Amino acid sequence: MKFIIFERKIIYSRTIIPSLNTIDDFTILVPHLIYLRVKLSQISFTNATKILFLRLPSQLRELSISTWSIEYADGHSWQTLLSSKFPHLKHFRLIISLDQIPLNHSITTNSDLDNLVKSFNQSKYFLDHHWNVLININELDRLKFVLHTIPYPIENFQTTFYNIRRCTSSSMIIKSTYFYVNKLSLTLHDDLVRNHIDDRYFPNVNQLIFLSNLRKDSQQFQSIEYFNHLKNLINLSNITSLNFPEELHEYPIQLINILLENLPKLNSLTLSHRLNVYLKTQSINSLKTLTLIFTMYSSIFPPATRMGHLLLSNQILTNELILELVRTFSHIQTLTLILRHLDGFDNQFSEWLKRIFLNEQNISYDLLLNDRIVRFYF
Amino acid sequence: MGRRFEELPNELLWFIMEYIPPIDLFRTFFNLNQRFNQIIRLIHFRFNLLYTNKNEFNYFLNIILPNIESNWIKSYYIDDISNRLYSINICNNLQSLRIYHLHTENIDLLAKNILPKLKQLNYLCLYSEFTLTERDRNSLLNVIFSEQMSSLTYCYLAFQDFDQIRFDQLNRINKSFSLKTLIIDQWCGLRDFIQLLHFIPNIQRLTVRLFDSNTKE
Repeated sequence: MKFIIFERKIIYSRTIIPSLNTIDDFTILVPHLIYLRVKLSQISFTNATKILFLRLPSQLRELSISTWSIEYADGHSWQTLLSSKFPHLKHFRLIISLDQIPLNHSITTNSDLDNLVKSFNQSKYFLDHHWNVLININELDRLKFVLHTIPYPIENFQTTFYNIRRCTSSSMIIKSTYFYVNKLSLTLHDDLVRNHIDDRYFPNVNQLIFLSNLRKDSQQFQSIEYFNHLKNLINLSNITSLNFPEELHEYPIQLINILLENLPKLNSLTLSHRLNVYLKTQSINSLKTLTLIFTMYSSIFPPATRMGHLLLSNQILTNELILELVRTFSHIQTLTLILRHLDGFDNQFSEWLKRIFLNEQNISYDLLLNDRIVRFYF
Repeated sequence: MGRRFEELPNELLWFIMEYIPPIDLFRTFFNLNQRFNQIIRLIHFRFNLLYTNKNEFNYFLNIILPNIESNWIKSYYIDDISNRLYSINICNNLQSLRIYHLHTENIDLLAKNILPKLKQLNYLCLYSEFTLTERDRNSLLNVIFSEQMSSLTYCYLAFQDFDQIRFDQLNRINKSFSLKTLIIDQWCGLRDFIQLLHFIPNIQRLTVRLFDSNTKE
């Protein structure tokens, strides 16, 4: 199948699509392009230079690159490219995010980290343009290595608390670096550090997402202590959306409850139903939208499939549970029920929904079969 | 205090009222007196109907819309839930439109019956966390990259982020001469990127995600 798709693309490239090699200069196609922001995946720096950067119009004012390859961390190569090709460039932004520490790079000491960014932070070209970079390293995080220009250039940022090692930078710079972040993902892990000092501050977050690497009993997690660190790190007053998306991972209930009580503008919450049953109801009463994640659907409990017997009852969405949830949350605007991992909805379910909610209760809903989602509107 | 507010000249009241969220404005001032009704009727409304429940949306449809000059609605933010997208058709002179939670069932309606009528639209944002088909994306792009949307200068397409967008099946006689800023938050192959450039000759600011089509399939 893969071979057939590939063949089709080759045929297109010969007949309809201009070959990558026939247009040497994109100025012919987009003569007014002054700003390019691009995420690059599975493209080497050499290749990207040849087939993208060198073909861009030279009057480019801003180039922002986000990538997952350490190859892009060489300031000398960037300097050669940027200074020769883009004389009018005012803004250069770079993010390199890695889920593994690169094997051939030493990151043991702070001076190792300074060495890694030397080609940017000690270069006259980059200093003159104020295009300095910062490295964050934490082996317990999902992204273990993040190198970025200062300030951090985009809205999405993923990080964790504690034990973050950085190259040398002033605390004032670190504090102001994350001004533009409005969607922040935090990885929870077991390694809590007392008397923790973090110079970072996130003043403009409106979406807060928690990923979980917790291995120990999540109910032993030091939620109060963690929250106290959190409120020093993030301005909580602008958060409208709170998300615990990892259905099969552990989250500390106490932390969720504390957060719900301390986010004054919160209107949207996403979490697994397994966690929802432990929430304090008064704190979710003011929500506008609630999204509950289940592992599977079965019209009745216990489910007929063998796999279903391995699950807890609150991981399985049943017709009876839907009726109960709709009754409980009819004061909010939208209730979304999502299935992950196992059996989705079927036509019989679709008929049942129509009969109960459209005909009998006059409640609007959308059933998205492909996405395994049903949404009720009140 | 109420009396002092009424003593302000119409122009100033009009100016102040444009800053009040429209549903709050109607609930507070509508049918207070003829003068307020007249002022409210001619406001350049910016409707943000996100997080609006069924009662509020019905209030908007049945009380607000019949009592304002719908051609004066400038901006409209809406969730694609139930049949709400039909209400966009009332606002012919929209300049700014944002749709959240867009799903496949309503793409035809949007691409064929809503977007081509919005001749003044210069700002369009479409967000979808749901599965859209290649046909869905193509029918939207065939309108967006055409002279049917001759005022469109800004377009933001945030579709399900692990999917791939292609431009090789679009109508190649189309081009958008108005589009200055385009953000496509979905992966596209390098080959497709060149295709994309053909459709947007006057682009100034471009945001894309690229992968090497020869290695990632």
